[in-house]
Amino acid sequence: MLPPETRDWSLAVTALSLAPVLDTAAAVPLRQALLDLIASGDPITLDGSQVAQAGQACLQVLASAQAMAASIPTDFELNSPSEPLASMIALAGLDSLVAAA
Amino acid sequence: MNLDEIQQIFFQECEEGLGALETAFADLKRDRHDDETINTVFRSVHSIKGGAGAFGHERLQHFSHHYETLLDLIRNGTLPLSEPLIDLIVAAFDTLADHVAAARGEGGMPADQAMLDRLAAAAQGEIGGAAAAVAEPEPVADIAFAAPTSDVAAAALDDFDALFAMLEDPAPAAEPAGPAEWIVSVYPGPRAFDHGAEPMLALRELSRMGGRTLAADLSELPQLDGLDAERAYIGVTMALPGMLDEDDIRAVFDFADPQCRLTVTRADPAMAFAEPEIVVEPAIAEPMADVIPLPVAAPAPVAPPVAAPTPAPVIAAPAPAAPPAPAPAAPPAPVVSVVEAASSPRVAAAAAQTIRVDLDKLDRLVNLVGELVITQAMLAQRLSENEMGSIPELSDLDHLTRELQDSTMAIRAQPMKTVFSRVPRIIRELEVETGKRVRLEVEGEMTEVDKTVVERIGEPLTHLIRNAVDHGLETPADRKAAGKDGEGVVTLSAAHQSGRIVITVADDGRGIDRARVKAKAIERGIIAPDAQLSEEEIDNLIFAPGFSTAAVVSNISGRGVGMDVVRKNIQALGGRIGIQSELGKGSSFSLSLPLTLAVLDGMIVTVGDQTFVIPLTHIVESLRPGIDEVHVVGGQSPLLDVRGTYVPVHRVGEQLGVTGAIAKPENAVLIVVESDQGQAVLMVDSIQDQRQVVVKSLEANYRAIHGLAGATILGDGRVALILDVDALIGRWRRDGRGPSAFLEDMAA
Repeated sequence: MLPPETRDWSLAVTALSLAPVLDTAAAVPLRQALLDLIASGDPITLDGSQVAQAGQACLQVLASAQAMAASIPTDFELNSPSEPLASMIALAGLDSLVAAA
Repeated sequence: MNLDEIQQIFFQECEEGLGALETAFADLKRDRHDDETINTVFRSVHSIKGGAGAFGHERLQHFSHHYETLLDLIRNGTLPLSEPLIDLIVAAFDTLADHVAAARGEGGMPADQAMLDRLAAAAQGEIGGAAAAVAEPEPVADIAFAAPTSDVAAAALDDFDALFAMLEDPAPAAEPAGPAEWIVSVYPGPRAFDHGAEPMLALRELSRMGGRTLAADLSELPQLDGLDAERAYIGVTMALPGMLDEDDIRAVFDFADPQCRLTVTRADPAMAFAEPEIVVEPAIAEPMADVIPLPVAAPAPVAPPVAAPTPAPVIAAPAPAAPPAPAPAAPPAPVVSVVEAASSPRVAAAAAQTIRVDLDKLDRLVNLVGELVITQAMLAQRLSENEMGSIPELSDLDHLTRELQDSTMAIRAQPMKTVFSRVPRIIRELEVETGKRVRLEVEGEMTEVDKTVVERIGEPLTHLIRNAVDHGLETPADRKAAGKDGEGVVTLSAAHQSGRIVITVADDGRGIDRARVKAKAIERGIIAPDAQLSEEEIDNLIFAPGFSTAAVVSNISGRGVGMDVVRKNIQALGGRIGIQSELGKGSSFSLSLPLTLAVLDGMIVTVGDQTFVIPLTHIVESLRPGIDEVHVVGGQSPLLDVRGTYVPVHRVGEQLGVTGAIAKPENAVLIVVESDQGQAVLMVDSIQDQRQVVVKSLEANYRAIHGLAGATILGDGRVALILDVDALIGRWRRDGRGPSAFLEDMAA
């Protein structure tokens, strides 16, 4: 499950710390959390430092969110990806997820 | 099919792979091997490794990787195959089997570090100690030279990934030495995440094989608000080293979702190392109508399609004036196979030959066929009552039913090889534990028998093997003193004989010392000191509960609980066990088992108002005795004179408490039967018929009753009990009483 999102209002940036386990079961709540963030209209900043495991279901949710953010447009950043997250992103060919950061 | 089911298939294939390895090792040890033998070993280990990676069994994968490394060095001739090396790869196999068992949850994780160290040392040419190195300087020199490079090449395929990644300039890799790279496109099926499956594991395995991701195809990825988070949308294209075998790449996806679309093609050599830019298309492209249902929507607007030199039926995605993609260079144009299987005829052919079926479905079929047989018998009886028993349609139906039954049973048949393949390891362990040298000879391993028998014969067979090595064979010193070869021989054979399967475990050891067996039986109170026993009866004493002749109880055998359990297990399978032994020359244990437990040939007999079935396998002959052929001695059970041998007559009616049975032997029918306890005579009123009956388990439908092997339904709809001849005779013999109380015992 995702940890509660943290919002740093002083910077007016919505930050979402990604859960340590981004398996298929985590994809549905992640999608909803990202939809909520996009609906807020704020720039989206994700913190990937705590991710220990990432699967394709969550990666494609992130990629889709990035595309949706681009179409609005709003900023989308995935910061500090952990090594497991970064390697899975590279393996899935989704380097733009972190390149945008 | 869910992930667990697919994983079960992987484990089944592991079992098959391990079986193939045992066969190959037997050839290696007997010096009957060729290049293909070591190739077989390599492939089996490789495919276990691939599956282990796909299912995340990392320890198994890790071990098999290092095992495979050594095998590859042998396969490509870098390491000469020597006896110590064979011993090592056989020993490593045992660890591999333990890893497979651990992955199945059937045992703890084996401590494999020592074996990994030995494998690593052997890969460096350090096998058989320094002596070998000195004795054979030339190969050692070769090994010393070859090892570093081959170690990098084979032991660390993972490192290719890093190597490729480090090559900023692709030019060095583009040395025209090897074949063109493989371009692999993977589109997991939409339900690829079902049951916790993770497509990334397969990609990770490709990465370990040296693969690098070229591009992701996001053309089917919807906007987040329209995205089903539990459905797979992304396709990935990877490049893999051209030196890899295509089958090895495809093997990674053996256990993937059936809807996973995989394309493996050679890259255009000219472009093989032209690193395409990684393209992520955030825009949502419409799937191209002309390649539906294949989701390759990556329109490849710029780069020409990668030529695919393989003859696989491919449709190269056209390069139309497609919607302009933001990519400066397209990913290697996805090449789509229309029907994946068709691109691999070998795989397609293999798939057509076998099909995996859920055992429950098969059992249901067997059960239904059994019901059909019973109904057919009922129909025959009803027609017969109406004087229509001879209509040709009835005999056709009978014929067809029998054929259907045989065919159904044949589906359940499995070769004994699945059991026999576990024996070499048992022998190896026993060699270590006992210090004896054993050569295993196997015959008839392709003999087929019902799956239930295959599943349940393992334990008794294991005990007989252990018994043969521990008790039967002598130590090498004793053998030499007796003028025998120091290496003992255990022969394991299976053959069909008269509608049954006979499995024999024989050894050329010391044989049964009957004087010692008898003395021990007297000491243990199993027989009276003055008992007069035939050789056969003395041999059978070793099956008595609590009997053991081992001076020292070992953990191999000799606890005296094994052999009687062996016999019980065999009897539970409707089988019998026989012993032949000659002092100083060896012993042979023969297990005679029915080919199937679902039907048996039986003689239908009447006793009073009851009908019983006597399994035909026990029946020697049946006769109506003359008055002078039956003798009563001292008020005991009558004895039948069977050609000079007096055999006890058991009145089945009296002993089972059936009312109205014929009391005088001369008016009855006497059936001479063979049992574990020797011959006996069953006295019944009359014989009705002799036919195949469908066995209905009492245990499953009521409860187990000692003395009854099951029940069947007769043509008139009545239930007939099937007698367990061994159990009945054994009980009667032991009790030595007028067993009118026997039925009470049975019911108790």
